[in-house]
Amino acid sequence: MEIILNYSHLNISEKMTIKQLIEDEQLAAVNLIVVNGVLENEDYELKANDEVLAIDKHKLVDGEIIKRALFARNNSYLVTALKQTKVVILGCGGIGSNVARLLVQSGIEQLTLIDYDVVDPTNLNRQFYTYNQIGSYKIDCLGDNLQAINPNVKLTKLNVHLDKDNIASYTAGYDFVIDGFDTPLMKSLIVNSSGWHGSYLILANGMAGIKPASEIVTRKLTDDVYVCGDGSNGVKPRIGLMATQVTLVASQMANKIIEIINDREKNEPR
Amino acid sequence: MIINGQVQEQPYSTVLQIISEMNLAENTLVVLINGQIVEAKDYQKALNGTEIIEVISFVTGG
Repeated sequence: MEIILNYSHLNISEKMTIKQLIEDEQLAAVNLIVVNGVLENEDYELKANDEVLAIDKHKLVDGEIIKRALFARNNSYLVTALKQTKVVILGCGGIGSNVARLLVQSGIEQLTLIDYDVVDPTNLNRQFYTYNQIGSYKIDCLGDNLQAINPNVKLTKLNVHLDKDNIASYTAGYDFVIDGFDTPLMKSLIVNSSGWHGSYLILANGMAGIKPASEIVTRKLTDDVYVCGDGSNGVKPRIGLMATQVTLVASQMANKIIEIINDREKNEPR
Repeated sequence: MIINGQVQEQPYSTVLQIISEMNLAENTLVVLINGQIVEAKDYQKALNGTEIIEVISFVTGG
């Protein structure tokens, strides 16, 4: 019967187990086994079309295996669709940097990052940056951080201050447009502009302070516009932005994107 | 006319009027009428009184 071992097709005998396979194929020092996306610690009788990853996790394996192993624990049928999806992140702050991180971790590889600002110390409580990045441009730092997760990610980095005159041109031609702005003016500007039409627009609204996680929700405004957040809590004196709330909103936004892609794949598999 | 889930006893004549009544700034929100986003240039158009209207005001943070 045929299985896939380390992303190559292989014919094996019926009822072969993982231990037998590793011996048969003379795979040295295997200490990480994932079968069909599930970590396997016990021996396992293989079935036809099983997808097996069997590697030494202490070694950085080169080439195609490591590229694909990054997402060995994902829903495997989504790999191609995620790779082909194009996303633009408008603003690389608390929402933008965390949505970008979650999307890259999920398997999205084509991202455009738009921001004009640098990392400052007050960002580190919630944005996906590190202490040694203070003073450097966010698009460069975020780019480095994302590539540290997946070196294959294809990034376009734009040091641009978006406004009503240019926003349409910077938001056209993507599958998803992400609102990472921090002001009501810019959030209203993006949704009321025309550039994003033809894409899905995912907005963030309301994440200040501390409240039960259940108050952070995703709402569908139209067939292609969603808004995530509590809808009402803006920043005020002594009511700031906490990592837990900001990342809840970012997670809902990233989750909605993956959900949309998943639904499309289920209906029209590639 | 329903605005943000509330039935209006006296319907408003335009979206602009609604926004003004809510004490909101036009450039910090999005308005939907019957599930469709309304462009700002249409805020002055006459309403017929049967619309389901949603006004979403954006807040700081992101």
